[in-house]
Amino acid sequence: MLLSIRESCREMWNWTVQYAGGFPGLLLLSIAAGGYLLAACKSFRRKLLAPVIALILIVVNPMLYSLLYGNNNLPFVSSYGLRYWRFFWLLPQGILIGATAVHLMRRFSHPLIRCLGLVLASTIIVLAGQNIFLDKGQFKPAVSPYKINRTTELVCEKVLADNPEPLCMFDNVISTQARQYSGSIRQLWGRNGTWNVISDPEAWEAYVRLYARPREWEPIFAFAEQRGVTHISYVIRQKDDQEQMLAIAGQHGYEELDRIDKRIILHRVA
Amino acid sequence: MSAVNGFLWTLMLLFVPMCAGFAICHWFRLPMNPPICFLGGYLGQWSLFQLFSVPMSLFKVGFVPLIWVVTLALVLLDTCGIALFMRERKLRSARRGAHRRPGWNAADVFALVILIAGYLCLAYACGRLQHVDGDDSRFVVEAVDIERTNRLFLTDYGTGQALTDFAGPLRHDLFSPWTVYLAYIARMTATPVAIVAHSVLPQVLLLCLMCAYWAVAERFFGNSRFEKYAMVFLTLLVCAYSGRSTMTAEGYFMRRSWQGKAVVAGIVIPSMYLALTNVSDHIKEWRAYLLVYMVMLAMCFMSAMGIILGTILCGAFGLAYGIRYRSLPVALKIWGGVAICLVYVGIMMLRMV
Repeated sequence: MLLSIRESCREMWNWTVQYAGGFPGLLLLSIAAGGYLLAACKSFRRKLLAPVIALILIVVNPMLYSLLYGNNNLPFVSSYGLRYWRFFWLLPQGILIGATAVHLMRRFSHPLIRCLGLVLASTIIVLAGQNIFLDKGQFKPAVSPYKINRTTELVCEKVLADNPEPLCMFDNVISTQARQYSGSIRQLWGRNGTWNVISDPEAWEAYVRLYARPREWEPIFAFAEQRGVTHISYVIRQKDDQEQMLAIAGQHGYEELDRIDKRIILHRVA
Repeated sequence: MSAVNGFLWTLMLLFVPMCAGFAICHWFRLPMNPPICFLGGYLGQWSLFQLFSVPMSLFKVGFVPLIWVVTLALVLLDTCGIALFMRERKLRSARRGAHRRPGWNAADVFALVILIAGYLCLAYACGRLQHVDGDDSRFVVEAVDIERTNRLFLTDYGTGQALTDFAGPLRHDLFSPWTVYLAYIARMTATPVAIVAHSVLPQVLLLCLMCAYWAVAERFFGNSRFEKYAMVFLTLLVCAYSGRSTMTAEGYFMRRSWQGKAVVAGIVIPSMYLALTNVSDHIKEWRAYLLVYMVMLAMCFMSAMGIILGTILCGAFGLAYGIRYRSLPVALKIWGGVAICLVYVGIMMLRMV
């Protein structure tokens, strides 16, 4: 389905706003910097004006956007609309801002004025941007050089100590990271239950059951037993539910191995 | 991690690319200074990986033969680099005194001090903090599997199950085999892949990023010290303060520098701009175009996004310079970079049919 030009323009604008993170301080600063460099710097203009125009015609082009948007038949550009924001990488914000600031400072030869200029430019960048490392949602203190979740490391250590080549049915957090810790761990599903190369509808069904309410443990453990799963990890907060799960697990040959960070780790007793 | 690991990291991540960089800078007539040699060495190394890993993966040769081939190529490149460096040093010592650079002033020292301080702060933050990214369940795990099983892209990263043919996203990753590089470094330094990807490589890639900015600053401002240091510092500051959006090239790189896409965004796109503008200075020299092809190979190596962005960049510059110099051969030579991408896309399409 092709988008109209107006819809394409609207989507492209939305991507731009999203790319700027709601506050277009650095983006506007970099566009202004690019404009300044093109106007003030002859060698920059000679080398880059024509290519920049060509790039703008290719990237900021609603017709091209409309043509390629959602076209799943073309290799590489399939779901182009979802990845449109990555085309903004062609605008090197940092380089443009840095080069412009230094170009402006260059007009002054006195070292003190240059130093003050550098401090002023740094202050503007700091005020227009936001420190990336202070984003608590994105960055956390590292607990080991693996830099994966500590709980994942503990679960994996426990499971590998129990069986060096386990086949596991892990919850979402652990299944996303376990194979980064050790490739010896085999799983029935990867990230979010769906990130497998070869799709496995039965495993998907078990994954959905694991997160469904009310939870039916019987088919989950029957499936695990049938597939020869050696270890299972799952977070259960309510005590009644835990007891019910352990009772059904026992009927299928699984026993509690350990509890790590509210997770019950079960292993299969031969 | 032991001192042996530290030695191997220094060898594989600093010494080998630097020596390769001497050869690359000499062949492409680039300024032979440490930052440009380091960046050039990395780009050359990545393009070598692209050249060897794609066919060897397609023919299911395996990881161990690839290690031998790439290591041999790197040893040859490094030997050339060391020999060329020694020759260059002799020539330089003969010329010493002919070109004396102006002395340092207070502004130069101030800019250098805050640049070093800025770099140390970023390196500390990169080492001390962690960003857990869901995409690593594909990219890092692919490298884990390659290193563990010695099979190239023939393991399901979700389950660990062995595959007989390339399937799903592995068919894409085959043509942008960045994960092979992670596996190679892990094997050569006897370090777990996750540690290489999350703890070791980000530090080195941060250095590489600075080298790319240094190269751009040198192109803008020549050898002026203050200008170079100030520009690299301000650019790093933009990277550190790009936290408002997760999407910007700088922010993307700082968050997940070990992923191929992030390296494209942070390091290889500026390098591509440098290579393409270098063409305009040396329009008649084949070397300038070969440099573009080398960077293009590195871009293809990183990610499928690199293939798309590289195609757009080469396409736009080829068109613009072709018109500007009123020369079809110039345009065609630059579009040679697009042809490299088309070869990979073509093989991929043939495999998908």
